[in-house]
Amino acid sequence: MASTTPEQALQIGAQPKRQFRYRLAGRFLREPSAVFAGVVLAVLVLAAVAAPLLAPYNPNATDLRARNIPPAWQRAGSSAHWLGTDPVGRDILSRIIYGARVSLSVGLIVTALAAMIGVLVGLLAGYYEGWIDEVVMRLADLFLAFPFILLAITIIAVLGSGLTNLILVLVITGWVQYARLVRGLVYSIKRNQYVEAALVAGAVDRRVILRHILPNTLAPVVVLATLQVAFVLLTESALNFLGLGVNPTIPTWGSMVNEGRLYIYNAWWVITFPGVAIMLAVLSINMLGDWLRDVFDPTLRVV
Amino acid sequence: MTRYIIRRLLYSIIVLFGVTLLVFFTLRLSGDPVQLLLREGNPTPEDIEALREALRLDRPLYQQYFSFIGNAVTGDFGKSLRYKTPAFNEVMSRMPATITLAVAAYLFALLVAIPTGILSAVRRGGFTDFASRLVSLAGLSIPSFWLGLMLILVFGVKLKWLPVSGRGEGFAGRLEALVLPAVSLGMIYAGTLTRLLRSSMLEVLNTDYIRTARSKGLQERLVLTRHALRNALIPVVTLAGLQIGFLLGGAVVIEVVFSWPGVGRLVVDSINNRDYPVVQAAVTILAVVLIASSLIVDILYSVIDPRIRYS
Amino acid sequence: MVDQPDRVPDPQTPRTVRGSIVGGRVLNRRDILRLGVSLAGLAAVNALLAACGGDDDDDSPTATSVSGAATATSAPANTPEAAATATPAPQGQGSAILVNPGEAPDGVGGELRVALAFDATSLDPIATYTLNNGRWQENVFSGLVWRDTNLVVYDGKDGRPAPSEGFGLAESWEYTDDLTLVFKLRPGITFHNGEPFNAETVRAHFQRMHDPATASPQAFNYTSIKEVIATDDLTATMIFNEVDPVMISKLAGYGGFMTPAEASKDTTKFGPVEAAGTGPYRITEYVKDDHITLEAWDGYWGPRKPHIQKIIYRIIPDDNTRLSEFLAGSIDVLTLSPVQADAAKGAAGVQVVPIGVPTVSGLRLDASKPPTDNKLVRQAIAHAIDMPTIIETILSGYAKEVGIWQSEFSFGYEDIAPYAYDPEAAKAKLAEAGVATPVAVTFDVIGGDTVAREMANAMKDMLDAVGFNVTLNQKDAANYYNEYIAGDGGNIVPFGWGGWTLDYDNTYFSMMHTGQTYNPSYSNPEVDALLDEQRGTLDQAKRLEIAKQLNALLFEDAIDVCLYQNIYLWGVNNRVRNFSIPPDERLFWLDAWIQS
Repeated sequence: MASTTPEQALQIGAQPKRQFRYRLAGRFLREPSAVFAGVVLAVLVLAAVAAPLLAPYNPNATDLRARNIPPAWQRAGSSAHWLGTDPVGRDILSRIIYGARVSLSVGLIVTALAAMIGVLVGLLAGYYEGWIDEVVMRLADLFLAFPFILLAITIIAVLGSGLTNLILVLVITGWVQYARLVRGLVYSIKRNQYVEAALVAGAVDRRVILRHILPNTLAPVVVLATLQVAFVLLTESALNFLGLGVNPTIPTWGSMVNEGRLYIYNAWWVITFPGVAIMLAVLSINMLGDWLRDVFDPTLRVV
Repeated sequence: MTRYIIRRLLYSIIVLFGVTLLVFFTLRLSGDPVQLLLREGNPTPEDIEALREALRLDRPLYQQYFSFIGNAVTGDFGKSLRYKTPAFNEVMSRMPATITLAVAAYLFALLVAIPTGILSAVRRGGFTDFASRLVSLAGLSIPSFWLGLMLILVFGVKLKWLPVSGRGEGFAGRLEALVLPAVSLGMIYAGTLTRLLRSSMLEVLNTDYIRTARSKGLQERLVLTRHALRNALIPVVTLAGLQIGFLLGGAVVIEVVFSWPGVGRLVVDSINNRDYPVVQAAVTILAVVLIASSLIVDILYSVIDPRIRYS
Repeated sequence: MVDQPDRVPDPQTPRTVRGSIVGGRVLNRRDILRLGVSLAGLAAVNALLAACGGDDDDDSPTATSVSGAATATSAPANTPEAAATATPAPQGQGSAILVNPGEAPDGVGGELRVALAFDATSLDPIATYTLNNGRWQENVFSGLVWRDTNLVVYDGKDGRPAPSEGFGLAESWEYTDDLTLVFKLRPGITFHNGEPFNAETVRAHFQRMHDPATASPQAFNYTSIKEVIATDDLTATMIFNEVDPVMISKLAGYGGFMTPAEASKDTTKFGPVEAAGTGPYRITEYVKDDHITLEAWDGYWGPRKPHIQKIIYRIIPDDNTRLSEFLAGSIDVLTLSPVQADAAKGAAGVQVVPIGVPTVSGLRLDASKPPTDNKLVRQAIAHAIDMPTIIETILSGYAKEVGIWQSEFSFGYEDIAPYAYDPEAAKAKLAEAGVATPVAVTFDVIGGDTVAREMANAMKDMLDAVGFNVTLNQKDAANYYNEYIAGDGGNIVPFGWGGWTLDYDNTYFSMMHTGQTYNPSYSNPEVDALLDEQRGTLDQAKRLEIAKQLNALLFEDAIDVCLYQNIYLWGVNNRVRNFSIPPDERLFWLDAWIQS
């Protein structure tokens, strides 16, 4: 049976914290993909936070007389608009900067909400098993078997298109992966000796779940979360492509890419720059997720 | 095992029931098809009511639902409001195109994932790892319609190597036409598979039997291909089974960009026209395929890997 | 380019009222059948064509001479005098643009590829009702009456060619009384499937159309037909319930396309995947959502035989992919969005040909909800938006601003200057209205429509600049439409209307008269009275007088503002020779050929 008390088990986990942190920094710097991802994300987050200071123009200010101006280094370009203007004369650089704010916060909000719901549901299902588990897992199966696009169209058709509804759509489908992941983890953690020890010692369920099980699920959840931020950015652009995006006045990278679609042959910059922004962000977040997983456990399978 | 399968089948029926319930009521919330059907004319309110009655959409919702379920069990999903043909046939006629694309995309994804996944795992942390993951992640990081448009622009319009869109004619033509959409769709899965293969390779490479094989002085290449890869592929195959379902339903954007006559496009067009019977048929059929494929994968998995037991 | 000078009157009736809804992916503005086309017969687009400039030189793209299209001013002779007193309404005339003229070499060969944005959904001509299908149907099916690409009906009257000179299935016809029309059919014609064409075919066709089980969306156009009697093998007698002066035009296409009596009995076969007609081309393959293949039919009875061996209509839903196919040379003929014109024009070996259409687009203002229930607020909106600049930039100049919801080809059109772009005047109107600024208004946008989004963004800025606070509401096309009809749309709803009957009654009655489906919110007793009055008279001078009163009233009320008449852009690969682009999208390939 239990050879260590739960408290001892936790202390064992906590001891090499400082050393771990030091090693973390070292590993980060040694890995080119992590450095690359870190730098890109730092720049994007800075842009998002300081958008009003950085953006040269109001991202929504149209000027039909200055539409489709090429980027500054092109012959017909102008230093007034470094990355050129879009088909209604809005400054692309300003829209990308403000778009970082909208797109990244949508990604973060969706991920946070989906993770919260999913982790909670997964913890309950995995810990109590029985009927809660059955209900949760069948619900998860249901969402997995239901075409996402249909759900998206319906919610947007019923509630109208807006950032809130976009977030709602993504959260409704997003929690499932966390629930399944956490449930599986809880199943195995529960059978660990220290948890059994805690239970024998008379710890209440809430304490066991919060103190002993939850912390051990966090690493894979964080990895999954990084992947989901990337997924949200891409899905937002796909929904825009299908005409289900956000209102035209909200600058998001996904809507910008879609707005440049018809100009791919005569104003390549309209689609390219926001596309590159999405690509860099998704790539960096994915790399960061990969790196985190390697740090936690290289054989951790979170897909 | 038999009991496990029976239980899974039972669950599947419950889930399927839930899917029909969800699709039926979300569709009803999404808007009225009758007005849309008559939009080309100049209908009077009487015309609209007459058509509603003719389509039997004037009945109480629960009655409509039960008749939908009752008929669906026998494979009758009603007639498409748009095509006026059986909805089931409309969905099934798009299946071959969708399956072809899904399989081709998956083959492409494997083609990318296997070498990059192995390389990443073997040279973990180094530049090769970085570069190969960059390649596999690049496709995953681009909005799929943008990738599709760029491929069309480069290979279809500028270089004229491959057809821009459509299914092509003749065997060679069909193969050529398959390349760009399969690459665009497969890119999304290549990244996922690479990542999975990499971690499963890392796991396998740490096992005792690989260490034993190495210590015996076996060539590294043989160790990798004979021993490691074979075992590392098990989870990849599992995922393949699960992803086929997503590939079938999730290729809408690619199908639109490449004028590919698949189920995804049919679903979106039908939703846009509020063609209830077709959407209901497509969602139910896709759900059946998805549930069945995950069931089969689970069973196969337990056969391949006896360590897995089902209670 | 060849401008067809013949102007031919054609009977029209107010009952041919129809419209099109501007839409996004589903309700594409080009794709919804403007009923007027099927009924109106002779649509006129002369003025815009005149402005297209005659440039016969193959090497210089037509489009280069078209920049003046938006400034076309010469209106066709849509005067009351042009209409015979026997016809209840005036009519227009149209002319096609002939691209790459030249006689075809002998023999049949080559392959033509045409892009369609939408699936046919059925091959049975009476099962569908979209202009999209008009692009191929005429080649497969024939009506009793022939109407050429210049929209001239061959009825032998007023100097027009006789029926026997065209490609219609009737040799001649005659009204024995107001309610009886007797057709003499051409002998020896068979359908592609070998079935003979005879009086029984005609009888069975209309019987099938009127059968409620068929649920034909075309049926309501032909309700005046009581029955058709096969008097003898080649004599079909049509008996009417009521006088229908437009019937001859209606028989030239769409629901009038004859279908084989025997084959069409099997609804699971005829329509969904196969169909036989009597036209120069037969359908050899239809793969839903993918393509329709037509091949020249050697059994064609007509005086001229087709030159193109194979025509593939490919269904390509994405705007960008269609353009890419065109630039890659794998699509020969398509319609382009104005924003694509520049990209297409630069390509080698292709032409971009603009052709004016009577469709008018604009903003509908909801007179039933605040703040747009206030006329002064509506006028302020009209003054705030700089339409000339929007047309010049976003629409690349391919549109013509109009002051009222009538195209310049329409009977009742007046050259009324639109509300001028004048921000100061807009502010003054708002001040006069006494509303507190910023005035909150909602503006509907269809999600999938890039151009609509661009216009909405530009208009929002212009409106906000004078004291509005515009909220753009993006909707999917189905909701946009359903909510508009239900009166639940925004204060400002972008809208389009075909107007193919070329008579003001079409647009005004459907969109301005109280209680009409397409008019959920506007009610003006004076307008209603005038509209009812003009329907009760055949006196065209009086109708024109009423039109002028209506124009003035509606302009003042500013229910519809920022209006412009549309111009379509056809992309044509120069492989395609002797191709006549009709103003009504009904492509007919008999005389065209492919240069190898």
